Amino acid sequence: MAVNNELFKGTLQTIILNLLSENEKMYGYEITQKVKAITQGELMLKEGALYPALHKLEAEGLLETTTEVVENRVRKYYSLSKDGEKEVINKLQEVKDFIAQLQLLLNLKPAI
Amino acid sequence: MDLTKEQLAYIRSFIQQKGFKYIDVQMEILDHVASSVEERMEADPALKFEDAINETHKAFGSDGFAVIQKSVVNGLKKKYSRFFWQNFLNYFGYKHILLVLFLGFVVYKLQEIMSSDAFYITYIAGMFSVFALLLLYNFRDSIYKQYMSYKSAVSFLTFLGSFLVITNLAISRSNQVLTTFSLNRSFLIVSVLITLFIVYFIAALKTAKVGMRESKQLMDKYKLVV
Repeated sequence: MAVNNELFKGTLQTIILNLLSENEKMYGYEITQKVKAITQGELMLKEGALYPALHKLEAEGLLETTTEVVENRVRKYYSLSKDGEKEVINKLQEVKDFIAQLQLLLNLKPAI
Repeated sequence: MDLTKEQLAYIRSFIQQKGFKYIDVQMEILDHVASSVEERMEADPALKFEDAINETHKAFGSDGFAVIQKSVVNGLKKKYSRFFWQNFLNYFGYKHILLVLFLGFVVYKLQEIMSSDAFYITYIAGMFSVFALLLLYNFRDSIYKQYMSYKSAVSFLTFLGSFLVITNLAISRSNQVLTTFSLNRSFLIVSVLITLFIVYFIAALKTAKVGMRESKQLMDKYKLVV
């Protein structure tokens, strides 16, 4: 059963920051494929959601970018800035707290 | 499978035909589309190259590639706006505030020492120098106008004319002698406006230079692939 994408919109920035904390640098398409692979196709990160989030994080100074010539084209890589490295810890904690509250509200048992 | 240079040129042309003219916007769309086309053709070797491009374009939804352009434009605007205001406000921090106050003091004193006509001519000459410098920059760096980074970064320079108009109005009223704390109020207003203009100009010029540098870096890489 596919997960409703609306449910993860609010945590998209945290997902991107967390992926980049686990991978030194990633490009846009790679991020969409990574989300698809980790969730075994249950979550599809659409371009319409990914790029606004990436560029917003870059504008806020949480991401840095570099460009490289790869396979006869210019590729833009995103990586965490110093501020981004600090922010990912806060954002992850916020999401964990939110999930804990949701479990209480919806009477869900934590997954084992 | 890696796409050939000819296939990449075809995708670039496809993107341009959709109306995306800025090279830095094209670059990001191109890499995403090319990566997607490569994967689709790998998964289904019978899939034609043109069909793989159309499938990728459809996957972007009804707005097509505009979603990437819109987010690039918004992101760059925010990025350079943040850089500009950090620079502008930095001149009012402890490191530069004395210099800024001294500049304001010099402008005030010049108005006291010089006749109003002589000060106005000096002011106009100063403004002409600023705009001549801007024309020179625009002329020299027009090649970067194909880059959204350049366009966003130089946008702050376009507001310089507003300062000119306001300051001009303030100077033309400086015959009235009203005082605040024993200071000529008109001289004070003109000093503040000219000082703000100079600080604004320096911050806007720095922002434009960063945009030019980043566009040049992109252009150097772009030349390697076309």
